[in-house]
Amino acid sequence: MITEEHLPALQGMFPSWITTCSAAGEPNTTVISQVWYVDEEHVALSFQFFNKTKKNLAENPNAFATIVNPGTMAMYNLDLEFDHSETDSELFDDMDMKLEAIASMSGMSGIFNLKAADVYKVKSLKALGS
Amino acid sequence: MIPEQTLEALANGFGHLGSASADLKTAHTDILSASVDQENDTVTCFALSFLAGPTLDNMKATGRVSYFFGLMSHEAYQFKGQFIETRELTESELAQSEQFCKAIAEILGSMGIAPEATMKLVGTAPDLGITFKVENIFNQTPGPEAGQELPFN
Repeated sequence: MITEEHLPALQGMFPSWITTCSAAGEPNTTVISQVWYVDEEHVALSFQFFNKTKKNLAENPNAFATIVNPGTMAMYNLDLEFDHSETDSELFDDMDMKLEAIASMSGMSGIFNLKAADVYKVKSLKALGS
Repeated sequence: MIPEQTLEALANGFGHLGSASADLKTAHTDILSASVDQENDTVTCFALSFLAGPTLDNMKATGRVSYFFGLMSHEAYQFKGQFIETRELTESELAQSEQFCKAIAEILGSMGIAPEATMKLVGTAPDLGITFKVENIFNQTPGPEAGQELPFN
């Protein structure tokens, strides 16, 4: 599903967006610092402070994200299904370190704070407009 | 009245309009600026019809809308509300979107992104207005006030 072509869009150089919804069907859209490559069928998102997203995922695991290749501006839409959260793992440590770097570069040190690495199954990945 | 503090980000922020289907699958689409009708508390988002299909289908089915938009400074807001209609954009709205796209292209250019790449993001003029009635407004700027609802009406 995720191939080498998509990896530049998973480096956190350009923000990504995610939309979730509650069990009642109320959508919520927000920006995220990085969609993190886990393996060909999974990505991880940093859970920092977007509590509505977290609350929605507890009620409904479906999510929709857009990632951007910063070199070409090619955009990809991902249909996601929340799988699990990690707070004590190599993945969490890697994401935490990268998030600190992003925070430092964007003047958000001390505000971006990784609470968990949320792992999602990628159900589909499509180039925008395809 | 939609709060004054959100108007600059509404006009100049990069936005994504989200929706959910009846079976709770979500979608969103890029928005290239937006206009406000203060008398009716509505916002019209400037969208690309060739990208907006699934998002619009959801809105027509369920009526619910989330609109996240933010500036490069990280100032960001989310409006939630009820879908009203789609319509053609006015000349004034198209001019506003053109200004927005130029500004985004300049910012991306200053970041070293090639013009031909930038055009993928902001090189096509919007051809669809998506209007919704604003019901709730949330501060989404990272920090202690993120998620707080803004007084409105």
